Amino acid sequence: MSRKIVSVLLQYLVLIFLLVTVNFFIVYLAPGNPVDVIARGGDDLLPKVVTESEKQTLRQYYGLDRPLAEQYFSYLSHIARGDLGYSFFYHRPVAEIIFDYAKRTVPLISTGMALALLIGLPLGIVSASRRGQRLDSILLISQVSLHSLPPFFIATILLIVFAVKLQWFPFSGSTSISGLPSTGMGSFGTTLYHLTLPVIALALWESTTIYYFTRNSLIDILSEDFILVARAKGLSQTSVFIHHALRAALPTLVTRFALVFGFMIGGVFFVEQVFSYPGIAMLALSAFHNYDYLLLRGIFLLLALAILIANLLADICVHRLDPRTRAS
Amino acid sequence: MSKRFVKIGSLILVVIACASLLAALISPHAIVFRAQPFDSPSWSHPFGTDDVGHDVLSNLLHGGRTSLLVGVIVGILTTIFGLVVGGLAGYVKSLDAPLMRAVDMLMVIPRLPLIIFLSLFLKPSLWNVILILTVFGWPVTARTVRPLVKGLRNAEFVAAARSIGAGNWYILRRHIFPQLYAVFAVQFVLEARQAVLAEAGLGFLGLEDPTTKSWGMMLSYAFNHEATFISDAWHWTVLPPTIVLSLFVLSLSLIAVGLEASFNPRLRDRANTITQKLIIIPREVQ
Repeated sequence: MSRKIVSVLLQYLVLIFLLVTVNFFIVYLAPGNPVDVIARGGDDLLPKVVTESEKQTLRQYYGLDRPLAEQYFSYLSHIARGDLGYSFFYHRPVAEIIFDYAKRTVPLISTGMALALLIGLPLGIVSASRRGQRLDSILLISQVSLHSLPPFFIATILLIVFAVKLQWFPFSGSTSISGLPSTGMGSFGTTLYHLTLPVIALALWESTTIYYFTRNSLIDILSEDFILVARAKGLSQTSVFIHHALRAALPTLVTRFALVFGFMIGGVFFVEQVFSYPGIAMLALSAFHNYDYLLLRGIFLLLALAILIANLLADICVHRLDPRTRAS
Repeated sequence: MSKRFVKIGSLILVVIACASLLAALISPHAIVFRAQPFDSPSWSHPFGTDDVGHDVLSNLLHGGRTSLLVGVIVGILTTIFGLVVGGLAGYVKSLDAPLMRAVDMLMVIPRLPLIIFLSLFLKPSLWNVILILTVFGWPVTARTVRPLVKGLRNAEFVAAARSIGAGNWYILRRHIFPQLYAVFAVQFVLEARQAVLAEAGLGFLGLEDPTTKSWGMMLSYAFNHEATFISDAWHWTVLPPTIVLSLFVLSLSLIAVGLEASFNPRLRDRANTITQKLIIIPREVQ
């Protein structure tokens, strides 16, 4: 552990502390007040009449009448113990609910990211190596046009073509209706079957950014003097590209891929909505409709932490990849 | 080539804008008119009806007004904020570092998830949507404007003007503002485009005021209804808003690309500069 890593870790600790603080106060933006939500008792559609004195009792019971600073410290101590609060809609601890839904979003994002890299990276490399030629222009224009469409466009087209028209894949959900594996498939097969279209939609959408980052970082590096030197030494085009250009572009690319991970969290919302995939984004949307702000707050904290951690990992990777940072 | 881009883009934009602005006059049915739900297209309902029996064509025309409104307001506000911050950073040396640091910090936060989350916590209303999009929109323009102003400020003709006693205000008005008109135009279109996309996205997720008529909300209702994809209803509840929205965004992209190219004929890598802005990409934070 060098000094540099320690300072990066410290920066991230400060960021995490800020994030947790924002997360405490964000609920005050929300319309309504917690007592009304608690009094409504979650999924009960019938409006309940709650008197002022009952509200006062509720406020006292949940500690909402105490000073803000005290509530904040109590919140901090609960967060530190991994307690994200209790959902009055589901009548379950928030952490438990989030865990249940995250189980379906984690494979979506991880395979989506892997596939996006598999598509975007080679296309970016091809484009950069043929810079200014016909293939480069075609790739650039098509990728940029794809990206400038609405974020749910690709998912909608995939849904209509492969789920509605051809009926190769299901158009909603994460399991078969009965909850049992579909005929002829194990439970793994069923999961895969439901995951295919959402993953492809997410990957195609984010591969455009990866393509663009890769192309431009490589083009920047290819104009540097050491590439000229490598060429002058008589190295083959492939060798120059792989051993010199790609190696030098790697630290930049890793940082940018962490950004793409952040964009992907946004993409997940659209993909899950299009395919009615019951993951963390759908949970957030339904929490919004149920005024379940503690749950919403938990999801916000988790996703923001995921983005922070992705960036932290990227920073550490860059540190390992870039010999200059190690020397100093 | 660039002129043709602007022409095609403007044509699509004008058609959509006129149709939406005249929505009250030309839409076949009042917005509250209720017919049979999921009625297929017919003479009285050219695009059919949606899940609550509203005429899809009328919704489409009225929905365009929301997109236009958000695009124009957010476009103007973010461009002005961006110009002011970018201009200050480029012109006043002591403000450069702190302002750009703030811009960089805002730009590394993934915008889309942040906007979605703020909308989840705020009361759903069109004005909140406009507020959020404005607050998080301007850094891109600030980043574009700063190097331009900085370059102009250090240019020899500005030094010459200064040496014969020109004041800051004179230099700004005479030498710097006139050079920024082109950037203002391009940035306005790009920011408007970004705002239209984000607004439609929020509507699509159902995060707008339920009484707002917008293309995103139309899609949100369509996608949340069980019958949409097991019947043929998606032909007229999903396709028209998706297509119109995509055309609208495409027209703005074409105009932006064309304008940029025509204002700046000697761009070294023409495709590159504009695409950078289309895929709003945060610069490396140093």
